[in-house]
Amino acid sequence: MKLLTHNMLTSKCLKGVLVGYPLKIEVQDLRICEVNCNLDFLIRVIPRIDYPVLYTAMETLGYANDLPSEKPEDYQTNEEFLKKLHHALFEIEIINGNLLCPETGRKFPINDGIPNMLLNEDET
Amino acid sequence: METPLVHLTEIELESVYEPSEDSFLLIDALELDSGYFEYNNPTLCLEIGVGSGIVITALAMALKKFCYSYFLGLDINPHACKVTKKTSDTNNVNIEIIQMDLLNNIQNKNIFDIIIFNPPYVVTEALEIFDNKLINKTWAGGYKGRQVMDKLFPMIPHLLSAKGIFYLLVIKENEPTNILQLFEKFNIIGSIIIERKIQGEHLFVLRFKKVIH
Repeated sequence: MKLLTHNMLTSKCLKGVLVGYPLKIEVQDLRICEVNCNLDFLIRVIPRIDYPVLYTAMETLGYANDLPSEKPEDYQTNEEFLKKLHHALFEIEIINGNLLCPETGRKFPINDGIPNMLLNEDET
Repeated sequence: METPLVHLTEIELESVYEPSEDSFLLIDALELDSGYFEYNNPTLCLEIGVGSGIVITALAMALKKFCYSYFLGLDINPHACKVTKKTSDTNNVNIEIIQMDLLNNIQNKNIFDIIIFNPPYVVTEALEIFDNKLINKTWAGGYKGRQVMDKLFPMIPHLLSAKGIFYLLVIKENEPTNILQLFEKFNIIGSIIIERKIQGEHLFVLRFKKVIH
């Protein structure tokens, strides 16, 4: 699972959960894989992500130094920033671990890169 | 569009939907729009209920030729998730996969440029959609074959980007005209873009876009 995917996930479908976002991350195995970087694509992605959520995820993984805590104003032309963003969104893969509901602590396991978000009937 | 290589083992076939006429019609529908994609460069793409992963992989292979995009595939069935991963790897594309029931855990943000759904559309007894056998979930659609898709429709307006497109595969018994009318209430206009009669089924692909004010 890449961090762009984490940026979209919520546990609000759990009974009693109000927001359920962002999910907390627990990592067991992580992989860095090189992916070709395309600046045009990144510029199109930026308006669709929650930047503070991405930054917090990077902090959790111990990579706080790899990304500025706030999106620079000149992000569309700041190549150095875009490359860092590319790395954060697409090159870090969580292979095994858990996602956690921020309100209830309910764990959603990630196995072999695939998060399992299924709930039992009595949880919805 | 190139057809992806898909290989399902005997065991996988017990619970994962084998690519069939409906899957191929959806790929043909996407192919009709490939000129539009080349012009518009879809950024984030989503398929609900990927099964073998053939459709989203075909899309990823086609878009790769002219733009960078992100692909997310969802399925309730863990075997379908694994098979989709295998299908995407075999065909050298990158697809993110999450095991999920419909759209339960996706944030309501209008970020997807393409959403694809090949729902369980077969008309069955209402209770059949609650059968826990995973293979049944690939086709059992309950009353008019609409019970599962009707649950999902209201979420589409919250996920589709301003210029986003939603592709839906249905059969005649699902009453495509009624579905088009239903979406008008969400300010989303749709039309039939391709249809095909095969033995025992009349398949349609509906394409929807938001009305821009």
